[in-house]
Amino acid sequence: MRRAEQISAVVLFVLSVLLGREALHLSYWAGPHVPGPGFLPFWVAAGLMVGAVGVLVAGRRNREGDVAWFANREARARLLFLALLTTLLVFAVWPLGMLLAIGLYLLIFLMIFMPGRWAIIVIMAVVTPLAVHLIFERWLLVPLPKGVFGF
Amino acid sequence: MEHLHTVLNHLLMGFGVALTPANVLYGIVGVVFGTFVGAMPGIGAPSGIAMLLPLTFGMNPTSGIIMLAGIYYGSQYGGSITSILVNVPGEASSVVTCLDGYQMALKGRAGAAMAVAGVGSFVAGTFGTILIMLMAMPVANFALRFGPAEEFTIFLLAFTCLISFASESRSKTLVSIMLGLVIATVGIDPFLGRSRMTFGSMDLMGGIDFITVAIGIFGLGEVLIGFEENIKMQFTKVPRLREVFPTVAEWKASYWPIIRGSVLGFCVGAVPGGGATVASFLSYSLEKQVSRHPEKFGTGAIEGVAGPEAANNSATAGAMIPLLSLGIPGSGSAAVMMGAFMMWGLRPGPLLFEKDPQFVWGLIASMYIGNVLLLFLNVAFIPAFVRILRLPFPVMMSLVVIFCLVGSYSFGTNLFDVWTMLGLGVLGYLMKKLEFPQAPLVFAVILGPLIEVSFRQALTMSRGSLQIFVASPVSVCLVMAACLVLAVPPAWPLVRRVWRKG
Repeated sequence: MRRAEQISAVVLFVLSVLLGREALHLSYWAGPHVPGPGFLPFWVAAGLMVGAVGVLVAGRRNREGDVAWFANREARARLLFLALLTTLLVFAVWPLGMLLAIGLYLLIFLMIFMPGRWAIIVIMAVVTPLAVHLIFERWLLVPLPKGVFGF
Repeated sequence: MEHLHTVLNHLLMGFGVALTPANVLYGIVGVVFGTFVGAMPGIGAPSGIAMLLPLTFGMNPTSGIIMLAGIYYGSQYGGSITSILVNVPGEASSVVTCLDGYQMALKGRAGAAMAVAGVGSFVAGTFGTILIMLMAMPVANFALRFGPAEEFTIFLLAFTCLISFASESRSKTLVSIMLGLVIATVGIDPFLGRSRMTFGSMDLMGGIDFITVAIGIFGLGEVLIGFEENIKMQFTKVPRLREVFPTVAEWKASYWPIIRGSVLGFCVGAVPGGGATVASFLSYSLEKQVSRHPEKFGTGAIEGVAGPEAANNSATAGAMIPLLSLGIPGSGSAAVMMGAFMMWGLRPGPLLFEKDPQFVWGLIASMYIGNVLLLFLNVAFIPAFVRILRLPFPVMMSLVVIFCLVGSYSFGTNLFDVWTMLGLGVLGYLMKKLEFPQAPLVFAVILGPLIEVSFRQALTMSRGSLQIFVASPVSVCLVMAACLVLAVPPAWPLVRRVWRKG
């Protein structure tokens, strides 16, 4: 994890520089002796920079060897698939509507991770959107996005 | 005596609020869900609270907080179930319970371990609630005298505690706090109404809601980690009801560890950055040190279950004192609850006891009821919980993803919040992998606006002079305490070395 720590420290350092630059565009003082909108962001960027340097130094001192980020290829594939499918779900919300997108998401997700267990897969894909509809739209009166099919 | 009389009157009023059928029902939902969240590896108490937060939008705040608090302390009870039966801790605070609890289960004493964990949690929870009842109001009354300078210095002390007492590295905790403050500054400046840190985005003008942050960092971040690890649970023999009664010798061995754990846990929990995990580890090491048979620890010593389980429960009660009386959360879960207070239009802190006594005392009374319910649930309904926990892992994880998605959408009814939540989920995952603590980030998102307002108010009052922060005895003490908290832990090993040589 040593290299990952060092990379994260560099990324944080760059982020702190960018944030500091953005803070300098805002007014540091709003009037005589009155802190302005840039006051806190400036010091937060400075604090982030100090933290990033601390992480970098600790990373260099760390004598432990590098550990692989993922335990195995299967773990990496699982995680990437989850991230991809969840991103697709959010993209699908506008055209399909929240409820249909959730149903399809569960169908695909469970088909891949629990192959052959059709009863559970179908029940989950039907009951979950129904429960979301009842809880959020009916009970909490939250208007969920509707898709081309009107639900 | 007068104080006790006032407290008892308030408590009676609190029971009047907490015992209404609706609030009892919300309390039951909270503790059952909390037990489940605690038992389920991959979902922590903060994520459980963040996920159920959207459900409280339509409730009255008292019912909402009764449910959320139920999840909070219920999760500490639930953590022991999988620690003892599967050797997989449901919560970070239950890691030490695995050491002896699982060994007891292998020897056929799972029932005794779970009963002692349940009773220890009940005693500690009730002890903690009594202390909240007695201590929170005097602390709040004292804090009523605070002005912006004192408010800022107390926030400063809270942050220094977070950095100093963090189990992770100090630099990483500092980075987490700063990232939280960056998120808190996005949007409109509270004094001048100018947009800042929005990078020209209209969607960022309204700022980033703490719910989006909490759900992303705690909820989705945990799911990503859990899914990568692909946790598989294999239960040892689940005890029947008649098998859960410990022997007299086991009770005798557990008595003092429960008392010590309750006191220690409460003190640790009341300090921001302390939390239930630190409390349980400290309790385990304390029990090992005071034991006449330290060699038995790790092989199924019941003291190794009783002490830590009492300590982690008492710590949750301890965290409620600074939250209710000063508006400073003592843990990640308390931080999410504080965000909920603000979402309902309530400002936790000294004025809460004056302005909303029904809310505060209803919550305290509900904690007594919740602890009784949890004792019953955790002794009599273990097989039922185990049956739920046997649901396939992908089913549970996919449901958590759906809850995160709909929950983050429902607050602002805006898909931008969902994208932000996804981004923060990835950030939460990276933080966990790189061992950056997540709670200080959420802590800073919630406290950030309050810190900024108190700091700028104080400087405006003093015409820019920093002397205002050392102008009153209270702020001097708080600044000195903050300096000590920062300086002592790194200097301590050096002092000990010099002391030994000298």
